Amino acid sequence: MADISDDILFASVRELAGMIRTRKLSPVALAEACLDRLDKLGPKLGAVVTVRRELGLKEAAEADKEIRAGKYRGPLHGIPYGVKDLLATKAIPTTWGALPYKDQVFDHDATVVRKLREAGAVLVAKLAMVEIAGGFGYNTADASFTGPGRTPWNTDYWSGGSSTGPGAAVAAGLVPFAIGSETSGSIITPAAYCGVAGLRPTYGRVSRHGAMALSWTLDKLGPMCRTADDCGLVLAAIAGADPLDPTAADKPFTYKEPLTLPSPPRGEGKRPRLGIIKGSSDKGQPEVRKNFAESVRVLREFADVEDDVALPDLPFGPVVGTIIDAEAASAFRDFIESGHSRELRAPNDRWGAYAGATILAVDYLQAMRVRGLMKKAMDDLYAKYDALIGPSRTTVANPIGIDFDKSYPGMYGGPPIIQAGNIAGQPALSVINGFGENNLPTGLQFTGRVWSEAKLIALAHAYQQKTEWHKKRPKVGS
Amino acid sequence: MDASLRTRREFTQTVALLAAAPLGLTAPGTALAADEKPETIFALTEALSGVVETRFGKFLTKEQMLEVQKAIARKQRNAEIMRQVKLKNSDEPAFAFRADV
Repeated sequence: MADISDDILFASVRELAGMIRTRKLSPVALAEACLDRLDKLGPKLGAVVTVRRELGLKEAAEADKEIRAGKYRGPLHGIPYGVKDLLATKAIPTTWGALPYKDQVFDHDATVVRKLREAGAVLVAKLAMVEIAGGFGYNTADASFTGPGRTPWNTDYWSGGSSTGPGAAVAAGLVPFAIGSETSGSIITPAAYCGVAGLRPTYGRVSRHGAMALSWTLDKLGPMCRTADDCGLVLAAIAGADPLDPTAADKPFTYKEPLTLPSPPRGEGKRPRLGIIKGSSDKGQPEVRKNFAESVRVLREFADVEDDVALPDLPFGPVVGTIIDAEAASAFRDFIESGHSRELRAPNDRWGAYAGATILAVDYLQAMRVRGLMKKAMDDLYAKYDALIGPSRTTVANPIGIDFDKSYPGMYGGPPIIQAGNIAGQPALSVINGFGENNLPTGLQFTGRVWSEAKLIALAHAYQQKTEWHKKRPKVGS
Repeated sequence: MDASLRTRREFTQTVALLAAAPLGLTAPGTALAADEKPETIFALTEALSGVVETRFGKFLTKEQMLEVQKAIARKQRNAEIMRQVKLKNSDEPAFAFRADV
């Protein structure tokens, strides 16, 4: 049996699956190593709420027994993972990152947790998150009752949110994969700031049953992993229809290997067609822009890349903000009216929901009607490309202790890629593409037409086959 | 925690700041419609702030109430920006009600 070295802890799910299936690696030993690491490093990164030691080891032992008996469930069998603490798990708290909910316990598991258990994965931790998934308007990294999430690349900087724990835990080798969520940026941002692969699936690809609802029409659950290929393996386990969530579409997602992309020499046949979102790298830190330019050079080796593809000229920002405000104000109406906002950690969260609660019904409906036009306009645009790309964020992670709007003056702006994609329900995948100031990672995002996750994974995988960024390891705990 | 109403001068300053430097979720390059006056946003902000004050004032400090008012002003500006997108009667919201249970 393999010793649990750093090579094991930072291996991909696919690599670990190969070792577990051939019994070169014990699921119990792997789970123990992850649990020890979660205990030792999790608090330093603000990444963990609850370590699920006893139940996790029990699941690992069951996985080991089944595999020895020849009952191999698939590539996630025996693989430890963590979930953002907005996913219900029986018998242990589901805190939503917020002090008023720290003792909340549900009597059921979220569908995603059930599906991962059926796939044989081993749940070892509930991972930290920004309180209420950031829906009340936080403007600072210290926005969880567990303290600020920290990127393991430089712990003076934020992990990104609201999936703070999943991003940090995967990057630091505490778990091989995690489940995060995104309403508007909460998978893509920590993926970029922690240097991991984060996949925001198409809205409706994954059941939301058992997940805290911030915005019913915007919330999505998705994998955060070391590689794009791993995101495919995890998505295959969690996707699909669910009678408990009527918005979960009957669109099966099967995945064994990345799609093979056509690869004729340039000019001799059809290659993948990518577009650079216009203006996406005009603003931002110099290293972000430089890393993106280098990423484009790599992508041009196997894809045709068109410059300056403009997003539709529509008010994506006001629309997404109005929808989140109104839906969050309703979803948390009792909480808001009870005054419990006063117990939240981030100063803006203590008053933000009250402003959000003033959205008029006609304005919410205006946003939802404009959203219909936006969906059509985005789909018309994306139909012409295999993916549109841009930097995942215009800066590296924010320093802890400085409000976001003061962190990097003049470095924000550009096209509303995250807002537009979330409004349209489209998927996106962020992978690491280099490093910027203070040893902090930068990200490249692939955005696609609805239901095009397989294509995005294939493109990002092809990029990762030609680069080594995803193999780098932060020094924390080494 | 007591909250007290802001003066008209403070409101005016807030809306003036908003008109000069759009914040938060406003789309880049957007402007108020030619016939839209800051006073409309001012009046809406004042009215909605009164709602917050009435319902939730006991939970907010004076400083927090000021932040709420600024945020309301930004959200009203966003509402005006969305209103500039012309819709037809047949443009339905991006959700569908189904009668089947």
